[in-house]
Amino acid sequence: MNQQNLSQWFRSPVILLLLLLAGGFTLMAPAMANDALLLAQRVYDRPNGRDLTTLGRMVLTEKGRAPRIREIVTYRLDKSGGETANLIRFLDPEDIAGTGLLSIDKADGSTDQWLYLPALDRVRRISSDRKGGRFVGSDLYFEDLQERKPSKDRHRLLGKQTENGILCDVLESVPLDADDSAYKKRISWIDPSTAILQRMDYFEKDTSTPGKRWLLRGKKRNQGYWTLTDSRMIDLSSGHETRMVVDVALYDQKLPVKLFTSQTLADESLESEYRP
Amino acid sequence: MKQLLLISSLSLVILPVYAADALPPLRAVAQNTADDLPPPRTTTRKPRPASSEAAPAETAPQASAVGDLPPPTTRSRKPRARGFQPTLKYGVDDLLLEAGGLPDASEADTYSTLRISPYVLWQPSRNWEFRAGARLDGMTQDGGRADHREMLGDYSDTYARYRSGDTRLTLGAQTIIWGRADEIPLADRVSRVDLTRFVLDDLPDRRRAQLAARWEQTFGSYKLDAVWLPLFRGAQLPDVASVWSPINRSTGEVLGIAPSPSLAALTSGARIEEDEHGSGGGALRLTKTGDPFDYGITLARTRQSLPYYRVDVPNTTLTAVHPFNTFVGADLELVSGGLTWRMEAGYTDNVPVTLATTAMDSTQSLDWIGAVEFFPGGKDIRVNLQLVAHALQTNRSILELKEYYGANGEVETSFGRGRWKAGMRFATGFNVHDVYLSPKLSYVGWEPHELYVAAHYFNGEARTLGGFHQDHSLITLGLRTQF
Repeated sequence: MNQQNLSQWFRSPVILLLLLLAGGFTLMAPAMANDALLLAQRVYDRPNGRDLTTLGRMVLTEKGRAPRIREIVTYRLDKSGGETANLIRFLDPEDIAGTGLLSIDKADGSTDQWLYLPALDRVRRISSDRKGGRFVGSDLYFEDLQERKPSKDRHRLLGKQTENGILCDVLESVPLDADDSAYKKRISWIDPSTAILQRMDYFEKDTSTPGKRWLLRGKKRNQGYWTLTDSRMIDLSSGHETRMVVDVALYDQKLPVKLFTSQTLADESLESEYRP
Repeated sequence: MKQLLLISSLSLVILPVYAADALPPLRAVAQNTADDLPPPRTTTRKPRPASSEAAPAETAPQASAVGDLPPPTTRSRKPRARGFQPTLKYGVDDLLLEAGGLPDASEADTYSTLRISPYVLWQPSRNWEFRAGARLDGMTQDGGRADHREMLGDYSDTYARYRSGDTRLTLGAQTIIWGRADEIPLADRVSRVDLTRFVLDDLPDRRRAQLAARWEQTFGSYKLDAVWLPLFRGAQLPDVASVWSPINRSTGEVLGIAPSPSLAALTSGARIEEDEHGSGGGALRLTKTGDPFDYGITLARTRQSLPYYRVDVPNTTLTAVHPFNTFVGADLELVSGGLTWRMEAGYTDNVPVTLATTAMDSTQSLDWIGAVEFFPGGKDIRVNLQLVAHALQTNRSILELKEYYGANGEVETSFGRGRWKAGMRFATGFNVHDVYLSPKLSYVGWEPHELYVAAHYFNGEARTLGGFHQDHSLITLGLRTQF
């Protein structure tokens, strides 16, 4: 094929259409991926205050059995340099009351964790790699309690679907490093106007059938921030579910950095006055 | 241009069609279950009335959940922490009811335990805290040639505590367990051991409160812990008739000492005395928590609560003595590769040992513990594996083991949505035959109660823990709770 022929080919409307279509696809695919990442980032960056204190309950229910309730107070502080500190204290039932968990999520993505055991009166450093371990016997894994950075996943927009009466963007997120997550895939239903998750399906064993489902049941605006006050994590195979209720949420209380130290972790009295 | 617009719109049409194929099927609304949530507890966090300046909360229930939400509470309208509130708490820290069978013991066929420890805790102000506690321990040993019943009353943690800034002062009976390793932390130099049930319980339940003055001072990520024991109390020992006594009158053996006919003759009829007078000494511990790892240094000049039985042949007496010794130790804890590593090392002087003549002598000891804790596959199984080394620094001939190398630890998991727990504690010697295995199956779904069945298997050679209690393997059924 000589240059003239080539020129004629390029002038052909059919070929032009094909080229533009192909170009459209190749250009649109990164654009879609970028939109997906932006959406994931919007969810991650949704305003939730410099610090947050919540008093809430986890209700573990199984058909035909009495529910088991864990009462929990949590504190979160966004520190300088991209570091986030979290403190969780169990208030009930008695056999785990006083147990505390301190997590420092660092800017580089690593997490330092310490567990306080009241019976031993000892702070123990623990590994944060226990991603697939059940949190106090609930349907939540330790990984579900951590804020996952969008950069850890490959995102794809699947389209739009109605969830909770809202037309949501549906986002698929697959871990870039399979060892970095207990899940093979997640699909999220996101309210595009608020960037609030309405539903998330977790694919643990394979990528075609979700094993767990998280559903938002209620939200409330406190001090200008949206708080997810009622949600459920459902084990789809057994029907067992864990309901998470936030009874009180306090934002921007100027929580001191000292609240997120091993000293406070080991002394409930130092922390209790910051409770709602 | 027109063509270009057409192509662009074609692309936009095609893309949603492609994505829509990947959409999961619509969710059935029936997956939502009925609301069964009781209102929040208000026992210790009774809300103050909502203040007029409080910002109103805007509630937005989800479309499918309007009727399911719990009623809004007044306290949710108050964007402020509660601040300090005086507290008065009381209850039972620990209630244990356990029945056990001793299939191999000649002393008894059954061994049962009752343990209860009520307490009251009052915190009238931010600075002050007062606690009073008591405990009652009962045991019964039946069905053999050494039937025995015992009831023992004692105080548990009973103290006055003062807090101010980074300072915490505590005076009174306290349970203080230092160290990083499980089961046998080397830095554990100021606690009082409870041997009434030997090693049947976990470490916190094998310690008792004793009178101490404690000063804890925090400097950033450092903490200085100073303890003085003004009035020494030795380990709480079981009655000599108990199967868990460190002196076995029927075999004439003393725990940790090589058996011999002369010792057996003495032990079987000896009078047993306790030498507890005076102070327990004092200790300092400096710890640091944070990057890149946690560590601690311990310096102690204390008397150990575990007794050494000094043999007095002319007076046919075994006297439990607790000589002062100096301990210098270091420990660290770090996470690497998803594993938690713990290590303790220590030097102790004036460790009592028994010469071949049964006379008491003393020497130094070097001890080391290395531990690793991990969760295989990042799931619910926890493994804690510890290697231990103990070496007495003497060339003289002694009746104790000069060196002991071994492993101990625990494997545990939960299943049935956390309603069941299964675990195995273990200990074994490398240079001597010494075995302890303790499998346990618990039902914890009836919170906060625990119902369990457990076994304790002992085996080993002379001078080891497993060997001393090899006829005392035990199967138990128990209930443990607190309220």
